[in-house]
Amino acid sequence: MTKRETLLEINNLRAYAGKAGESRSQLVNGVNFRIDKGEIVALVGESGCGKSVTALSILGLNAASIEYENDSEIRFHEENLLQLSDRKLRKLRGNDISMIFQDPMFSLNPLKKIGKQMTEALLQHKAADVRTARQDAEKMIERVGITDPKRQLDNYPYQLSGGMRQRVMIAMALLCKPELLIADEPTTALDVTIQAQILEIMKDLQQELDVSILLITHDLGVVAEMADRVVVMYSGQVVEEADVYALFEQPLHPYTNGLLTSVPKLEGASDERISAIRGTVPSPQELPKGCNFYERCTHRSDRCKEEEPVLANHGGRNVACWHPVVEGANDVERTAIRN
Amino acid sequence: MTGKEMLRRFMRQRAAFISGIFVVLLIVVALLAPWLAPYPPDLPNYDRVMAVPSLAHWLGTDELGRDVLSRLMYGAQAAIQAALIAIIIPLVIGVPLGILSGYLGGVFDEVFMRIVDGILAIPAILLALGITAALGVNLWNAMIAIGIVFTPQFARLARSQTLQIRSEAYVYAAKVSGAGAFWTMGKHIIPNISPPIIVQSSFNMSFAILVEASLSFLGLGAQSPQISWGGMIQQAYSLMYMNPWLILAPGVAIMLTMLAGNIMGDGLRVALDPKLKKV
Amino acid sequence: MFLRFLTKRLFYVIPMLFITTFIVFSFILLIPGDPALAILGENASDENLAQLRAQLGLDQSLFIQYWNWLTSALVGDLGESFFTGESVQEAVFSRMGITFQLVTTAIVIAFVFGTTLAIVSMMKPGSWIDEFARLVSTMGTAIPNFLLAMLLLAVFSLSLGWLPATGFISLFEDPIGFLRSVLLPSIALGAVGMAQITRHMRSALIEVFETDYIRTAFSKGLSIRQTIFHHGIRNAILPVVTTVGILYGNLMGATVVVETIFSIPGIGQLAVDSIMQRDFAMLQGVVLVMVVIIIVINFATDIIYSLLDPRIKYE
Repeated sequence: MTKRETLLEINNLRAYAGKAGESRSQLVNGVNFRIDKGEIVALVGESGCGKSVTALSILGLNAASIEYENDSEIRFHEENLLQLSDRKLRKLRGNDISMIFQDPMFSLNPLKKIGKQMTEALLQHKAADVRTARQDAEKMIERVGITDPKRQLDNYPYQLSGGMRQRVMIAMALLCKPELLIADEPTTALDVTIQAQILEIMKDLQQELDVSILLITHDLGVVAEMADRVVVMYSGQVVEEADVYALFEQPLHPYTNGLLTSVPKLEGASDERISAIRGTVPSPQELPKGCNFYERCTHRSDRCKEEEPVLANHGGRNVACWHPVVEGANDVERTAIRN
Repeated sequence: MTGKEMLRRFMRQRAAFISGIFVVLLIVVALLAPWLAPYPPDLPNYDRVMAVPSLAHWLGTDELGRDVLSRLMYGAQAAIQAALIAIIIPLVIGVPLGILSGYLGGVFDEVFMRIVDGILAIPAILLALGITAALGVNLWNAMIAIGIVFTPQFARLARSQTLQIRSEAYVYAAKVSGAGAFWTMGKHIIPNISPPIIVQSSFNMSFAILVEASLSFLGLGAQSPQISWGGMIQQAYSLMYMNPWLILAPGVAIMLTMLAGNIMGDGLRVALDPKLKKV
Repeated sequence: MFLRFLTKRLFYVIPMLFITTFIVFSFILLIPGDPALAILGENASDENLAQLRAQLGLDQSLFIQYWNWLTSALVGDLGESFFTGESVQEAVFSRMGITFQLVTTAIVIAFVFGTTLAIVSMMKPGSWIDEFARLVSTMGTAIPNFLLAMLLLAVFSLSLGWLPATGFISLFEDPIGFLRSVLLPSIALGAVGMAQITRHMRSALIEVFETDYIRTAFSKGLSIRQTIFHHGIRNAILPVVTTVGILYGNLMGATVVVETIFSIPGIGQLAVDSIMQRDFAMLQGVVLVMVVIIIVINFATDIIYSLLDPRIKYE
């Protein structure tokens, strides 16, 4: 694999709900990963694991009550987005980095025509006049597969189906030709048949426009379909990071392993059981001392209860576990290489 | 939610808590007025007419030299009575009719709601004026008129709440399992529609005090020697070109009481609604 | 489509007008005191009384009286005052114009200041203006209009002498004089409305700001100001439109007090006078016209709402 240029780098991101000094809960606890140019990175985890907070912190769109640690860093073009002034951040939003959200039913203003909403970002960032902005918008919604774009731009969101609205959202997000598109569960609220269409459109446009995508999802099918690299999060931490093929081939973290085996497969013996991960995610107010996954883990030892594992290199991949899953020898204790 | 928890949620809101204390104090003052008032409220003192506040008369005296503070304390009785009557009448008449209308539906509901809407189109004060005039002008009738005016409002509220609850699964389940209409209403509907009605009652108590004062001000409420805050304002108004500050004491009393009623209403809304978490 | 929507709404409004007018009519007959007796005095002979009752139609059944009154009302004849013999429709309409100007001014003041206060407080949360908006929205609903009217009168007319204490000048005769005469009464009248509008607009804005499409707007790089103006206000103003409709009725009622204090010869004062004098014909006319205006205003609010919200289909 050729070494690509890094576009965005998240270093030691820690986010809390509530003010420092008061009782506050830790939502994101030391997240590190990078996104390269032209790459699709999937951020995977259960709901409440901090993946949305992580995504929203890139654009500074988290609620004002969420605070970050001072040494947390989100590097984008030599700048730390967490320290950027609101003014500078606004210049990035929708222009260099744009975002689409989970539920297209509520992501568009119900009282404004599609065309007006689409051209807003163009008029804001590129010195475009209303007419050329409208022409650009027409071209773009045609590219996401909407027929009769001229007429659709004069429609209100309620006149469009959910799949159509998500296409509009994608077109709108890509209108300013951003370098990074953050897609927060873009297909979760849609019908399965529509999901596939939306994913295809995203993948096509990603290649055409050479945009990087951070894809937030809990759906491993979507990950397999789309991603180059996968970052797995569990209760505010990155537990594993790997190339998509390597991850599906051999997950190292017991949690990833659990996620993969909980997906029913068609091939293979029909009597093979689907194994669900037992228990629930610990609440951010009462995280255990050792590994956060301890209570639910099938590979745990006493060490896991006492010592928190850190993300460490394991055969060219990163995993945060004292006992990574290795085929044939599940319980071999390994020494982690601390970074 | 238990009653205890509701009380805790209510007390946690400082403004609502203070308002609650204010209302309790007001009731105590009204009940104990004969013992608390420094002077008889009707005792004229022609040597000290329209005196400014002093140690002897904390809030001064009126145009006949009567002690303003004492009159204010007796006026609180009228205010509390007005507030109570103004919500008891709609609770006894309006709410049951509203529940029935919502529960029965059909033609009865249709006709009843049209009548309610029709009455609600008439401005409340004007309707209260008309009813007071019909019943005969005095404080007691003014209070009854206010109660009648509030009745359609409560009927409407009770009906819309009943409609909401009626369509919910557990009421349906009770009906399917053979519960009678009265059982369903008593067991499921009344407890569930109570919170919004309690909240509305709190707001309407303060509105009742306003309407009573307005009626008295127009000469259709308290008649001398009855003492009410509105009546005090009316007397002060006739002297306004000479001594405008006489309106202040009863005016501020009305304002504070209304404010307390409104803030209490807000507090109750938060305390009784499990969905509202912001405290 | 729109026409069909209009007719459908009208079909709701018309029966309501009948019901309301019937209620008004029968309520007024409940008021004790025989008009014939009131007109002729205690010493009138029974014969004369009966004659006058027949003349006024008071000896007929309630429904027939209502029917007669309604049919003549529909052709614009509301009868004559029992006391002055003045034509009711002339008295009511000449005074209605005055009250209409007063209430509309009050609504405009309440709406403009209320929404502005809410918007500014939303743009600068926690600032002094935000605190002020909260104060206005709680205190404002608790200030009785008569108290505010008297305080304004005492300060700006009696003490400072800036504005006239009483009287009314029509907008169409002298716009400046109109503003001077209407300013204090419309503030006294509109203060409660302003508080309510501030409150509703503020909470509507807060609600709108928690929606996903506002997050989308921010993700496009819009500033708070742009987001409020392009996405917040129109969406938040929808529920406020309904508030304004309801307010119109409330303020119409409140003129009863405010017009008395500022000696404005509007319909509120006419209502009080006719109740005091037991002038039933006049009172019926007054309430009828008020109620019709209120119902029409609410009808108009419905239409405005449907025009502002594209999601309402005219079916």
